[in-house]
Amino acid sequence: MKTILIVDDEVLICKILKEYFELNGYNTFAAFTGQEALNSIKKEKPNLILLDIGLPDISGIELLPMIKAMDPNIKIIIISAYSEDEENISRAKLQGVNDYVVKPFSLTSLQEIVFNKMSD
Amino acid sequence: MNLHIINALSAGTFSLLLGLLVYLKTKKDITLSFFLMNISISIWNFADILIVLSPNNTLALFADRIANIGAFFIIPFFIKINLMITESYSKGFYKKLFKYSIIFSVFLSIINFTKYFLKSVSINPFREEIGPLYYLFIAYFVFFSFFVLYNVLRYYLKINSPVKKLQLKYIFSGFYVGIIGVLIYFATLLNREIPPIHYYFEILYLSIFAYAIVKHRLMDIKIVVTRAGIFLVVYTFVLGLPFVFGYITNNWIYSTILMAILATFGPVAYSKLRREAENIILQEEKIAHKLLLRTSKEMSTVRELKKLFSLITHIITKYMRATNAAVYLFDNETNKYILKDIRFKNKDIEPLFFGKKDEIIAYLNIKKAPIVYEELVFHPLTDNEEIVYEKLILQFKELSAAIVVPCFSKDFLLGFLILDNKESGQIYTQDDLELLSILANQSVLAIENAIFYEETGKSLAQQFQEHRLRSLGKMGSGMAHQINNRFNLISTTAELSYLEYLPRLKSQLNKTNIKDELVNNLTDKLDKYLKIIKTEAHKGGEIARTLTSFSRNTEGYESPVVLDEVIKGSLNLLSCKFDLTELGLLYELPAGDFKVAGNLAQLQDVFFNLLDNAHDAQKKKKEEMGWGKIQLESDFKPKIIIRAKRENGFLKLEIEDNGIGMMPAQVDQTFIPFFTTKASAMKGTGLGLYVIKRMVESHREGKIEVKSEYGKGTTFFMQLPTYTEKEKNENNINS
Repeated sequence: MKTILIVDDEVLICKILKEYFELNGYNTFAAFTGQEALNSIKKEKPNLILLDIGLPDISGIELLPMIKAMDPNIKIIIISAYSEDEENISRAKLQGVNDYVVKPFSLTSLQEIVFNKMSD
Repeated sequence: MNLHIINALSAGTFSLLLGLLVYLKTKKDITLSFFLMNISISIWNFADILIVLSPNNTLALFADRIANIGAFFIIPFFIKINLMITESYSKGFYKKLFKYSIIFSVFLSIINFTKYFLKSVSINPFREEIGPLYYLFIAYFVFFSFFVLYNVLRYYLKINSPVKKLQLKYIFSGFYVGIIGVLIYFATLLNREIPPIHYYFEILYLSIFAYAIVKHRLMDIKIVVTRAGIFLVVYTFVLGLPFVFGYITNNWIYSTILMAILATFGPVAYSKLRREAENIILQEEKIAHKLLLRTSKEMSTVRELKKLFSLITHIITKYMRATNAAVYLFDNETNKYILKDIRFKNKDIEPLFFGKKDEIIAYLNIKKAPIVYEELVFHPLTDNEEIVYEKLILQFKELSAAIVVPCFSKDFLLGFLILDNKESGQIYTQDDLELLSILANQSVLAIENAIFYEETGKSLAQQFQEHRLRSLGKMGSGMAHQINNRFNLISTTAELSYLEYLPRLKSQLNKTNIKDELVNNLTDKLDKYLKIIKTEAHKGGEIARTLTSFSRNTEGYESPVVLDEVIKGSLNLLSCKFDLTELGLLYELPAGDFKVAGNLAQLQDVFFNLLDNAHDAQKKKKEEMGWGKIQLESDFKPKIIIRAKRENGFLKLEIEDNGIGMMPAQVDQTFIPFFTTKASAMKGTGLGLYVIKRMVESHREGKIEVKSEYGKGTTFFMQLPTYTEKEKNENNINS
């Protein structure tokens, strides 16, 4: 079973996403901080990460190289609440981010992206 | 005898008061000399009174000797003032001359007490018996009188300034009268038949001299002299009237009472008369000063340096009535002070430039106050080694400067103002100088503002406004981020409910065999409403996200911006304010992608504000038609047309509305800062059209214009640079 790690400091959105992806047959974990995310990656070895840029302890962008260092094959989808965050996104793309989604997003379109990236 | 006393008393009092007031008003070397000379004169006068009042010959002889001492010391101070006025005091020889004359006067004072100088004095009838040494005094006086007259004449022929020549005429005639007065005094000693009229010459001499000082602006004593004059008139009346009364009636008790009464009213009359006189004297000046201050305050609104400099010289020539005026400003490139503007009425002045080491700049940096040419001339710089006095004087002459006013920005000499003599030939008063300093300060502020504006394209006021908006934007952006997160949560929760749980609920209900129409209806309704929640929350989130873009980097003006995105972004925001269908938006856009080289956030602000204004104009038109203010258009429908076309590498945009429009006067003011036709300037995001214009003009060759007709509508025309593939390539190379 494919594993997804959801990283967002919004507990409720993690809960919603977790439920949704579990109902759709994924194994999911949630992390609320950068540190928790790194721990989960080590422990659960997810195939894909949904990564929010604004985390309490570290920026999602700064987290990218660390994740890639642990496992270069992990697929990463960035979630941003800001309007087309050009600078961040172009930096993110350079670091092997597979796609990005802006808030508000719809679950169906997110799932579509996740599905496509998983089967890549 | 009594005539003698009155003459001597008034001459002595007048000279003492004049000297004191002049010195107290401005404490300088020359006024001190003037004061000391006047003290000597009054000693001479008052001792004369003592002679007349002496009961015996011995006392009279003593008083006469005191009077002589006064007379001796008039000469050295008289010489010193003369030398200072004629610019010759700085020379070593003349300084020695002053010292020698002091020594000689001391010598005379000593021999004055021997019988070889003054043998005897008899009081009834008054008679002086002079000794042989007395002729030494006469020779001394005659020698220096001719020396002084020669010196003034020589100086008169040397100088060119017509103002100065005029002043010297007064001084010359003053000296002349004074010398004649003393010669008459000597004559009375030798010939008993001549009446003691020398006092009148003395008063006349002092008056002329005082007038010359006023003219000379050695000190600002126009008022002082008036005060002294009024004081003298009032107190002559207070003291003189009872004296005359007592003398005629021989009733000294009534005369003392009369004096007491008059003395009580004296100060009141004096202060009242003084105020009246000062008002009359200064009326014209005061009006000019007020105007100057008011005008100089307007300087800070001028943003073009060239216009500002011309305004400064205009103010100086108009309100200070200077014949010529010029502004010099420090130039960073050449490291020199160069001429920026000049206004002259009667002569051509060569544009000059000065380095930091030039005398005039160095002296301005030391003095940090206006420098008056004539003061320089009277007070040669002997104590300052850094400055070559002769060069400084020469620079003043080259500049044709009567006054140089420094403009300091903190401790840096930003520039200086130059004023030639006044048209009237009158002298700059102390008030004038203070006013010029204020003007200089305000010029500094205005110049700095204009330089700043020219360098950054922004005025301080705008900077402040932008700073405020930026911090508002940052705060708003943070809030918008949070709101977006909430909306996102609501929309995804609703979506999860209808995507996953509602179908599961339905199948569970189906399993339990509750095949009720009602249950079906309920689940359908739930599905529908959850979808509404999702869609609306999603929209809400999108609007909030658009707001986050307000804090985005707004520095680049060359990014590819799709016009469609600009319009959509602004409409998204506007949909929070009103129903977008109220606008009646129509597009006349040819097919294809319109890419502008610009700044998305700022262009969204521009469209937001223009469309918002158009909407307000439409609403106002409806209202005014309702009030019957303008003719009713029965078929009025709000309409806004957005047109765009490519032209010579630019995108030409038009936003046309059929709102209330503007009056011609308003059209002219549209882009003036803080101008608004709306009741509240804080409407919308608070960005005025002035800021909009600046945003557009920040784009490469960006332009915005407006055409409007009251009752018909307004059209904004914009030009923005198109984004071309070539630039894209350049951008790629750069990155």
